[in-house]
Amino acid sequence: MKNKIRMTILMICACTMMLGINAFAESTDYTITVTQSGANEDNISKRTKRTDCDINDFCVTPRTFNTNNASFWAKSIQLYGSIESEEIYVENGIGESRYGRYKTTAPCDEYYFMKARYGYSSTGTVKSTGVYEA
Amino acid sequence: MSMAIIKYNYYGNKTLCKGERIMKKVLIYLICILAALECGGCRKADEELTDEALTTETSQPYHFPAADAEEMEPVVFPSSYTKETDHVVFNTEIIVNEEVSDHGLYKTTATYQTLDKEKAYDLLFGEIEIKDSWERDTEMGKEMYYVGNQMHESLYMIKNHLGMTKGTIFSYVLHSFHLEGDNYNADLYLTGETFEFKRIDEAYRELSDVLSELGLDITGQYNCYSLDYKTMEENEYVAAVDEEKAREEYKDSWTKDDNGYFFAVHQTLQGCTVQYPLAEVFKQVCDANAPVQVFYTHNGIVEMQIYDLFTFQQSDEPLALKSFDAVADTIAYKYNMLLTDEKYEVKSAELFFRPVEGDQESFEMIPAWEVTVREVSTERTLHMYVNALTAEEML
Repeated sequence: MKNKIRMTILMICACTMMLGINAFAESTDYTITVTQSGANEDNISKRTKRTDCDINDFCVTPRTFNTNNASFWAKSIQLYGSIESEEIYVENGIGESRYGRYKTTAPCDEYYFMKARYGYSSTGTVKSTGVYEA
Repeated sequence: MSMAIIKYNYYGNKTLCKGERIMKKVLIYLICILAALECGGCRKADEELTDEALTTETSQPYHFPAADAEEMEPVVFPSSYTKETDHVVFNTEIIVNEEVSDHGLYKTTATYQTLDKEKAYDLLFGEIEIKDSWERDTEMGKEMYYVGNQMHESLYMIKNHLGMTKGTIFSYVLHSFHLEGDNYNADLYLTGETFEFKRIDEAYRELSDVLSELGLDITGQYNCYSLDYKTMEENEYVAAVDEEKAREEYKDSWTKDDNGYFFAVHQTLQGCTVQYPLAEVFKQVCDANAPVQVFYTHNGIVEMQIYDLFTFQQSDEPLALKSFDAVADTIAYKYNMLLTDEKYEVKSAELFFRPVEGDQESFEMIPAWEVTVREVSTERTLHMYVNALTAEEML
């Protein structure tokens, strides 16, 4: 009887570990253009499913900027619903991830998108590519 | 007929009356009475129409432009349109359903269909052991969220939206199947391939039945993408800055158990697709914005997203559409006004219905053009929306 209980506990632990290994966050490439005047912008990412259910954050990791000295503000918004994140400041630090917290618990397996607005650029325009995780 | 009698009486009785002045007064009274009777008749007809077909017409902020009797004939649009202006070239394919050319369009209002949330829970999640759940009030109404014991087993509902996921397979599918953006590849899966677990039409019928049970009607059209595991394996791509981290997120192996049908279902009205602007930014009429999106595998429905669906109230009042010349003038004016030397090519224009919200969640269905424009130097694709009744841009 004790062996059976031990086996069951071991099986549960093994399953939990497997689930942990398989956990992943859905992410998408983004390309945004934001300008000081607000004209001719492309400030929306593709919609992305939020699949990392353990944390209540979103993440932006820039790959490229059009100039060395550039930045933008970004927030994550639920596609259909009322949930939004706080706004985060994303600077030209290539490969460095920035995290922002949702204002309320953001349900998992729902779609979200990133909305950006102009921060700073010596040219008046910020073009950036990178990865957005909802 | 009325005027002929008046003339006869007037001239015929001229010598018998006390005087011409009195006869003129009589004539004026007669005309007034007849005019009043005719107006009364018109009003009654309008009232009947309103009662029968336009139950939500009152207090609408959008006013359909009055149409002349001559404009009531359905406008026939050419299949293509060519024209050149300063910065804009029209090599435009015009996409209009035959039904529109044959029968024209009719004034229509719409209201939301109501999702039966209790039924949805019982039907879709009733047998699942719930690990976590919450309900909370939001500005959009009550929000309900249920999480099952297995990984990615969730049901989310708010207003008339439902999002359901069962298992991890669809998260992997999203690495291989792209309905929008630079890495669009959905057409790879428009093969019509049938998988052994169920035929496409059978799977769709099952989906329709499920939605009917939830109180929803999806009469319209659908595209079915046959997602076969081999093509998904070949096209798997995980977006990540850290390649090592990305490798961990690729699927270990793909098998035929991963095959599935992805349905994108659109509502149609009078032959035109109905547009669903999502979050006020995803406006394009395309499968990525379809109001019903479902992934169906050998396990049945494992992924379902439902956004607002409409019930339509169509009247018999025809709508007068502007010619495409007028629409083209609006497009050309917009792009010629830009203070750059950029050139634009207008690639296509498709007629659809856009719901414009009035009071109390009632909508006017406005026929509109979705115009696809190519920015020549950047190859960027832009979309512009033009009201087909007024030829004015819709934002």
